[in-house]
Amino acid sequence: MLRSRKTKNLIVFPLTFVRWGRSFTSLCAVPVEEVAVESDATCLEYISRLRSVLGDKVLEATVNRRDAVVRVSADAWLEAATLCRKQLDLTYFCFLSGLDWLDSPLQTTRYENVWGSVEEEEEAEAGAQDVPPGGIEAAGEIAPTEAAAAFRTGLAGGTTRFQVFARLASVADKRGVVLKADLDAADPRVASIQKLYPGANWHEREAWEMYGFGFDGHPDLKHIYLPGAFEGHPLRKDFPLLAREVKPWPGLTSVEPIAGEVGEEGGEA
Amino acid sequence: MTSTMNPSGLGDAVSTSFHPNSPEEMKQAAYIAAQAADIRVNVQLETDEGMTVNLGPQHPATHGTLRLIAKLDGEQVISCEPVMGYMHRGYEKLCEVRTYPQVTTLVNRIDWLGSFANEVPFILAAEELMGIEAPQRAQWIRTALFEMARIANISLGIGDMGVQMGAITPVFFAFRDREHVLNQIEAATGGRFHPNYDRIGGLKEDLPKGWIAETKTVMAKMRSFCDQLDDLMMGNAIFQKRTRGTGVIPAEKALEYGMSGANLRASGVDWDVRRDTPSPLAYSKLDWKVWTHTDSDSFARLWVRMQEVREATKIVDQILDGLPAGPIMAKVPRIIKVPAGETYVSTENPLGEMGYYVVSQGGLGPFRVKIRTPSFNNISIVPWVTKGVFVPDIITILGSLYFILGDIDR
Repeated sequence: MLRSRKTKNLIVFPLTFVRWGRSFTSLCAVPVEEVAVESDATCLEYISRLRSVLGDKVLEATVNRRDAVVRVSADAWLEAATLCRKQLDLTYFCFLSGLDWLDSPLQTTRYENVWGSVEEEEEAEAGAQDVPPGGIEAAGEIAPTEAAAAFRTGLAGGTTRFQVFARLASVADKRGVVLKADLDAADPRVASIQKLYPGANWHEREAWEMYGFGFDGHPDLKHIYLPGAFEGHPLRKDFPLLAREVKPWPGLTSVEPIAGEVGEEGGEA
Repeated sequence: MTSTMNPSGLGDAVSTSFHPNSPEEMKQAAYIAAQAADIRVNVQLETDEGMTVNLGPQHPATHGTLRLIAKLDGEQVISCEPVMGYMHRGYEKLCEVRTYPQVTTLVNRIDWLGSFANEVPFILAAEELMGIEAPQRAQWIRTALFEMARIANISLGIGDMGVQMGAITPVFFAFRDREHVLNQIEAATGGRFHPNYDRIGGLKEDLPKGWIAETKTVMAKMRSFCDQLDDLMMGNAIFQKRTRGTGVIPAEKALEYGMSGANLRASGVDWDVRRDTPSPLAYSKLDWKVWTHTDSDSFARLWVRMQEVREATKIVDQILDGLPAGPIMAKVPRIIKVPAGETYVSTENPLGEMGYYVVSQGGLGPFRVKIRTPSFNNISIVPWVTKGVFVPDIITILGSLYFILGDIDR
């Protein structure tokens, strides 16, 4: 990705890479034992208590900030939530939602979606300077990191396309647990926790609508935001965002160079 | 089953088969219609189980386009189901196709009365993932503007509560004094409602000259506004009659439903994200108090909000006195690229706990942003809390729960 005309910027940026590298390792999903030194003791206790009851059903766990991120198997979802509510005393229901790990062609995480493909860029370079030099140069400074490519399923990992996750918190401990569960891609289905946390009722309706997750035991799974006849699940990565299909987002490619900054270092004071 | 339209909604007082014939009856009907306009109810049908009544979606008392379908037995509510989505804008999806700096423009529009407060947690989440921290001065200014957004938001909410109960004056006072705060926000950020002032790594620019002194006089004005509203509303016999003892939410229920902010504290739960979670904002360096109330009713929620506005003015004053000098922007790359990771960062917004669960895969834009908005959870308790209350109480309960539609629908 780094090409000759950007060599100037290569010299500027190693420091930034070092900084990002460090923050990446601290946030990456690593087994609990490895980060135990800097992790929160209460969160570690949550994890060990969940492990002691659920055993192998806790697939992976890590600590992020003041949250214990615990991935359980889908059949232990309700059991894990019950433990959190009754044993760990996590009475506060924060939210429940879904994740779709499918790589979306529209995403801005992809370099070429934002700054155009490399060929386009070169074309623009050869032709008139209608692509702002500041934008392209600055974009070229950032090489896609291999570490990022490995990080595909977030904290506490994941094996399937869909994940349901919920955050439950304790007001007394000032800590929380982010429960995650992998769901079957063909039939994403999990037990409803709305009997434990009535607040989950609407969140489950939203996840059902946006991701197509089924929640067994939910009393009234119906649309919450979208009209009743709506087809499809908008937050799935393969659901097209029509506005972007029709017209590419103009805001991304028209970064104008700021006066006095062109040709300077990439940093902004 | 009849489908006779009757605008009264006054339950047993008037049967649905009421057809005015004589001039006297016409007069009576006009009177009933005028009364009914207060709560804008349309009787849809009458069944053996009771009457189904539609409140909204368009009515001043509903803060936007929230629709309530209430089943009534006489004037008592059997069940009340909120229907939303009239303003759903799909921000979570849109966030995925934008770069990090562009997301702040979107999230500004979630809770539009306290826009600046929406930007902060997202920026903090991005900063945390990037491993950078804004300079102290930027953090302090952020905190000041955050609290000013709170003042602008909640003061209008309290005034609006008056309107819903038939008192016009409080809302005029609220609009008048809120204007001063908005002017200050505009002076600093350039935007009255949607500042878009927060940047990853700091702020757009420093404060203008003379801003600090002016803001101090505005804060004094806001304190006198609070005193005025205290006299006008809190001590008012009608206000107390209509809010005390209605819409009681026990602490356990409030937590189960994920209520936050003043609604939770009015149920006696001493929980404030500003104080109880570590944050780079300046709160830990300031002297302020978290107010709670044990009554758990509509009045308590309003009362806690009122104290919060007072407390916020004190926080702003302290910040203005102790504002550290220095840069307002950390060294960040020109093109923001956030390394892979995920985090949940929340702050205590005017309406309650607002959090962003940001999942990054090392790109220019977020992979997934789950926006946890306070109003969504706060309103999800409506079916439970309105069970058995009377129709006019729905309005006061909704008003005291205080929600912004954009914050529910996002």
